[in-house]
Amino acid sequence: MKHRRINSMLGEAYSWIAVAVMVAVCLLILLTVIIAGKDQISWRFLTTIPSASAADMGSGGISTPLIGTVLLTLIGIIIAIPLSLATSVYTSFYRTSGAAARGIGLAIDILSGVPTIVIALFALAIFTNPQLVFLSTPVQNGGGAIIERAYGRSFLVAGITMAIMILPAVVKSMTEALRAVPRSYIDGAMALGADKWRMVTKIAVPAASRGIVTGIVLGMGRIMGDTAIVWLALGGTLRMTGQQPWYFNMADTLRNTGSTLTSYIYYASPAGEGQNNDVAFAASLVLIVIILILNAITALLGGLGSSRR
Amino acid sequence: MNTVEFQNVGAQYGDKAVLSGIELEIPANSIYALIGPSGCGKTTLLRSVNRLNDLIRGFILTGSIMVDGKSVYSLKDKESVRILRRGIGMIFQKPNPLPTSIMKNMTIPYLEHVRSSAKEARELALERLKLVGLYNEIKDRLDAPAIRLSGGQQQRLCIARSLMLPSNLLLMDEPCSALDPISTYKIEEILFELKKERTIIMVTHNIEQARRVSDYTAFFYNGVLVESGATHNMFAHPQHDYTQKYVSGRMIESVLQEVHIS
Repeated sequence: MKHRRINSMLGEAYSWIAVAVMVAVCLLILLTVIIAGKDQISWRFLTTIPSASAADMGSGGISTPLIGTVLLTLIGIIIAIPLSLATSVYTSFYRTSGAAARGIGLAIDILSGVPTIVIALFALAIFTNPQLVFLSTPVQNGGGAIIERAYGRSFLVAGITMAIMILPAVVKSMTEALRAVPRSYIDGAMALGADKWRMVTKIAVPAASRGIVTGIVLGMGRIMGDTAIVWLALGGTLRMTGQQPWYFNMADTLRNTGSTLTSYIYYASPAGEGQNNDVAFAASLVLIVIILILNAITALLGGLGSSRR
Repeated sequence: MNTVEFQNVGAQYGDKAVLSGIELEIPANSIYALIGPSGCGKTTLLRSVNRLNDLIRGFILTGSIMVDGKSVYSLKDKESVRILRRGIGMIFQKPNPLPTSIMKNMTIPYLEHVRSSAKEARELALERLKLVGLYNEIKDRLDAPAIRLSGGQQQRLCIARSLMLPSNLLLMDEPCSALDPISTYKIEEILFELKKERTIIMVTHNIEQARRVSDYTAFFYNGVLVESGATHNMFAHPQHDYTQKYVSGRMIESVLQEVHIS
């Protein structure tokens, strides 16, 4: 009996240590980012464009990377929402079992296992095709008359690629939400003579809306945090490279390269061109705060939703 | 005419047979109670009338079910099945208001299917809410979420909602099993009112309820119809030993496991 008690105590101690390590690492990351980055944060830092090269003094501010993160997240999520909602509706209500359903599930699992750098590489191979030049900018030969290929890097290209990257995660969480819709709602709608599509659009999707929003926010967080796709598909510039001023020429800006907070962090860090650790930490702090705010909004929405029940 | 006729009905889920050889006639403007121990197939039978079991993979029905002389399972295309369902109200064991306001719960099915004006829908909704005695209790908060109503009120709302479509046949699957005695009493009162113009088939586990409200009763056991007939008659003079034990509450589950009807 004594032996068993010691085992139980050891098990509890081990679990406690594991939790302590995890919490400590989390706090350490946050603290490091805050301490190293807080001095750089200023209104000027947030509203100034970056230097042309991160090797320059101080790397400049983060105005365009900040906008870049927002733009890319919006493009990615706007493309991903209809695709993933349709997929999860199909697998939750139309094809719930059988070979086709297993095939779809397998495809989603495989896609979720593909590293983002590989997805980015694939995107580059696709979007440099001259037929898709409308998504980025043309690369012309010496005379300038013939479009040989597309540049294949732009906000649009990176946004589409991001949408593909987040599909598996968003589909999975939306599917979970839709499958959790009470059977009684579905039976009730069908007994009232609704067709399946009405049942889905009027009953199931609204009833699952909280879970669906959670999936969307999850996807947005993934886009904000990704670097590999930005690096390959958005291009290696810190500033917006379209026709200037970029904010009056959005159509052109979206077809050109730019940066996001993650790529800015990379370039400003010693691993990139810069030696501006403190600036990289400041940008990291801004990114973390944005993601935390996003999560807080979801939690708030969820809280409001549950109090209405 | 809102008669239902079961002709040699059998049902199975995959390989598992749950009903066989059911012969039963439901007369118009009556309340017909289906009673029997859990798992005897009565709910399956009820859900077959409006073909709600179609949603369950592997469900097969043999024989035929006639509603007003028309065979329900001969309907081939999905639209005819939906039209059939719109003509048959269904009340579930657990009240299932939609996650929206009380008024929208009432008007959504009507506006979907009858395609009339919002004003007309609202007027009919108020009339139906009065019919189930809910109007006076909720007239100040028609736009409040339906989910905030009490269980009994929710169930009466669901009954009122089923009356928004021109349905003369109501299927009720243990409509009071989740409710307190006062709510149950209110619903039973509504049933008497509804019976004047409609036919009601009700599955119930509450033997006293069957005795109180139904005109006819059918006792099912192990997927077989043991006995059916006028309620007062069946409760006073049960023909079969099992019926007699069940309606007198002396048939306990452990005994049930051993009994088999061949």
